[in-house]
Amino acid sequence: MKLPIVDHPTAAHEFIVNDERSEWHDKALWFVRSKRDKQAHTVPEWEYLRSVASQIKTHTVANLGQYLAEFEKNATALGATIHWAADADEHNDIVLKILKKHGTRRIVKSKSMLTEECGLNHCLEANGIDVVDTDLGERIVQLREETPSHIVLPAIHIKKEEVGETFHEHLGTEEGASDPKYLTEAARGHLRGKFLAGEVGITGVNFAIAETGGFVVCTNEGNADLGVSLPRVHIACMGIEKLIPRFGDLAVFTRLLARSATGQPITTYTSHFHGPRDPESELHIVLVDNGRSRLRGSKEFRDALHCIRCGACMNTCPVYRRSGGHSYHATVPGPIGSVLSPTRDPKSYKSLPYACSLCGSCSDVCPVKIPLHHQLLAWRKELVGKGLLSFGKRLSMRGASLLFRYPMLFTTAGKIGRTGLKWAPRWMTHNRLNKWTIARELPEPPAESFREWYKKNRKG
Amino acid sequence: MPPARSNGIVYLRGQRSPASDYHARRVQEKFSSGGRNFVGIIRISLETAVSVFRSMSCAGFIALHRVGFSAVCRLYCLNAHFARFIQLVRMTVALFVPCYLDQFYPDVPIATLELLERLGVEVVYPEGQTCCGQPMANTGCNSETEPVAKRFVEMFADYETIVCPSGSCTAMVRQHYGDYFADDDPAYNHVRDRTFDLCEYLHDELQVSELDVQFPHRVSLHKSCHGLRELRMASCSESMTPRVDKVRSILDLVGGIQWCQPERDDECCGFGGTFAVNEPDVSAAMGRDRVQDHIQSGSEVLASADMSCLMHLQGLIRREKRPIQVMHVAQILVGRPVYNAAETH
Amino acid sequence: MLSNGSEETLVAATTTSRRAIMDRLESRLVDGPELPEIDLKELTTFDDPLEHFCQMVQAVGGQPHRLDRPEDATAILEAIPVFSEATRVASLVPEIAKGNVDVSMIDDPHALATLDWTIVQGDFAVAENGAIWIDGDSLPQRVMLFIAQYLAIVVSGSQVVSNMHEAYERVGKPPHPFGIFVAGPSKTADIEQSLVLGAHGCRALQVFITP
Repeated sequence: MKLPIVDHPTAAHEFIVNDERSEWHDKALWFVRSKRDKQAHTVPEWEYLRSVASQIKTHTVANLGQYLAEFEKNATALGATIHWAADADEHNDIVLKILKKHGTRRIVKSKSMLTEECGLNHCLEANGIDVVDTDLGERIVQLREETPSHIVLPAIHIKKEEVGETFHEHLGTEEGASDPKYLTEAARGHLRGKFLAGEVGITGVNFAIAETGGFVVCTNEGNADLGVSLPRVHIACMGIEKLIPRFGDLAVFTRLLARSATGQPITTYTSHFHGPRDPESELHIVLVDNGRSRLRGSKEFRDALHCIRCGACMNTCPVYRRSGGHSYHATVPGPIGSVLSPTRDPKSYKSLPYACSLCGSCSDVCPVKIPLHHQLLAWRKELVGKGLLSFGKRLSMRGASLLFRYPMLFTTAGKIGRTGLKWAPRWMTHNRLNKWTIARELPEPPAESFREWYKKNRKG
Repeated sequence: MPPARSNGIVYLRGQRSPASDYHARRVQEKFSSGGRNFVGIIRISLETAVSVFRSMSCAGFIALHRVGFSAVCRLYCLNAHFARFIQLVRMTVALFVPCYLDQFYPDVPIATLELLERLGVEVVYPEGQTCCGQPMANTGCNSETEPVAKRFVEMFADYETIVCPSGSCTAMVRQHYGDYFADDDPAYNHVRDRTFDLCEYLHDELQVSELDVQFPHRVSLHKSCHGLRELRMASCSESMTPRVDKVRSILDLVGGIQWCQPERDDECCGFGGTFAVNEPDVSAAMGRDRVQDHIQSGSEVLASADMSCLMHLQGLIRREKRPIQVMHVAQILVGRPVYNAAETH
Repeated sequence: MLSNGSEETLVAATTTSRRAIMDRLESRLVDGPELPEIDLKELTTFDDPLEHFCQMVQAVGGQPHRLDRPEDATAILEAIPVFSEATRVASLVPEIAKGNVDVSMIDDPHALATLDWTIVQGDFAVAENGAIWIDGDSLPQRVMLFIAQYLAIVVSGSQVVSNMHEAYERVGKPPHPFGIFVAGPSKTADIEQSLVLGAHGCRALQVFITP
């Protein structure tokens, strides 16, 4: 399927032009970032944990086939059914088949970025199955027919008044209500009914353990657990990179995940599933590739498979905070999304690696030490290599390179530039064609360059 | 792979640091072609002596370790002091002036030059220099960057130390030149190991402990991303690893500064090179937020070790007529009066 | 009964994909480091883990109660209006509260929909984050932890570990079918980052720490 070309600067403009909203969004996410910092400061061995987590993940990715086989063997021995999906369509097919086998009409689903990636909801709804996203943020965006704008805080772009409007329309809350407690209470009642009516529960997987054949789901709301403790069928969907080798490794990751994601020491519920609930219940685990094994083949970008989907990179990214998650037009936005999306479709997502000032903060917060800003720079080289840089930009870079190879050309160009800036009328230098000058003044041209000064004052 | 610094690292028997090896050879080439003047000859003689001495000190260390560890320590300490003495006696640095500073902000390299001279350093300005290649590299245009990077290394390879009043250009040379050279290329290794940001040089190499300068103004420091996260010149708020703040340490030697602290200590200013024009809205929004943060801290001078950040912030300040000035750290360190950094004298 | 051989096609498709995925993973050899062992010297431990645990329970929104005797919990519970007024209480800790719902007699978890209170025994506590480990084998129905409006967990103050490394060591292997760390009541901040205690699970958590 050919995706439209995502023009991040244009999409960002639409968000930023609303000053007040953009500032509010920025402050909200910075607040989450500050909470993360506070928590990290309480763990003296924080940087050590990051190194260990990174090493565990690097090792796992290198030996992924072996660990997947081990996981499958152990999970099957516990009574779970393992399914393998090469791509998104196959994943959806597998889930649909399981649901059809049980004659399911209603499912409840907790947060799973993988199912978002595969577009599961659309597929199920097209087949007449009612899908309820039970995470509060996800339910809000579902009712509003939007997509999540953040992988951990799906509704971070929505104001409480807007939630109030949505709930008034769909849940019958009071018109104009915006108190988060009141609205959450309404959602609680509404979703209780859905949990009780759910015929199958679908969850994501935070960590799958090769050694034991089990997996872990972390939530604050309790929606995943409610969703799967009532029906008899639990379908867990996971990307193959979510594997970790040993049960004890969970200690490292559970210490890093919530602190990085929301600035909490741990999520309210950290549930460990090993096999189905009882002999009458079923546990299905769908292992999804969808480009991951191919990404593993890339030396440059392989480390992106470390990602534990904590969202810390988004919270710290000054570009994400000001342009909003939707400006990326990708399931996973922000720095990690700008590395992953071009692997899927370089042409469509070619503007994403450039939606970055290379500040490096993302790499510093990543709990599994993905060198995100270096990978974004590497993507730029890849895109140029694929001929995806615009002709104008390529030309100006060639021109610049030429100038820098010949000092005479460089100094002449500089002199012309300085003179031009001094004498040219303002409309010529400061106009909409010159993107610098939309918001900024150009520098005041000095009387002489440094090398001219040096010749006069120091040489000889 | 050679380590980032050649100072104080022990080599295995028979192995010499590629950097000192290369430098020794270049000095010999120069000497045989004849120094042009008296100063040149003295310089070359001293450089040769140092290079030979450095090579010897490693082999000497290994040979003498049998004599006894304490004897060796004493000897090594003496060696270190002597090497330092030689270094102090003949401090010469090559000034690397980023392209946009040369053409648009000459006062920054002028201030850098004046500062180094005041500290007893002989400064040389290799005139054929133009640019480190960062604009092309950051756009992903490696083939356009390569000739520029090669030219840079060729130009600066002859100098023992290279100092640059910009964190981002220094980071380019130290961390992003690897694509264009073989791992064991001695000229590249030497240039990479011996290029410093100005504040790094002042703090780590010169170890400046006092400055006779007054700057009685309210100052806030903008921590440029490259200096912070590539060169690690200070701690950053998201990392739990404490690091010495080299820029601040040097500025603390200036009398009279009243420090103001913005709320967000190290958020990016939004320049990002071509990012400023590729994503103009986000870039401007980021810059405005920084300016406002510094203003609300009570500051009158927004200082930074990187003029590229300041160029962007200054552009916004002047357009919106905000009540704050920008100044490069070098300008503060030579006690320039507070004025718009674009003006030259 | 299955129709259209859907089970077979499901299995066949999965086998083909499995082969394809494993082929790609096995044919592309990737260098990697050894699996690291944790250096215990690097880990933070607490001099008074119990004290730290109590602080963290509060930090995550729970209410800790340190008891001299387990029976003291009864009085504390009775003093909470939503407990004294509760109509359906499931208790797995009879010395603290006698419930009126015998969960072990319930086949269908949906029948617990109107549960007001659940009182359970926790196995051990984790000081660094206020979490308590509950072994699923002790729960006749897992859903009782999440479906009740209010939750109380009883844990012994002598069973406190410092950090998650010690915790997982303690959980041990092979793990039981279900196990969970519970830290505080259910919560959400999904509406404008405003923290609300009581999302879909319990509205409040009482933690009774016995000697």
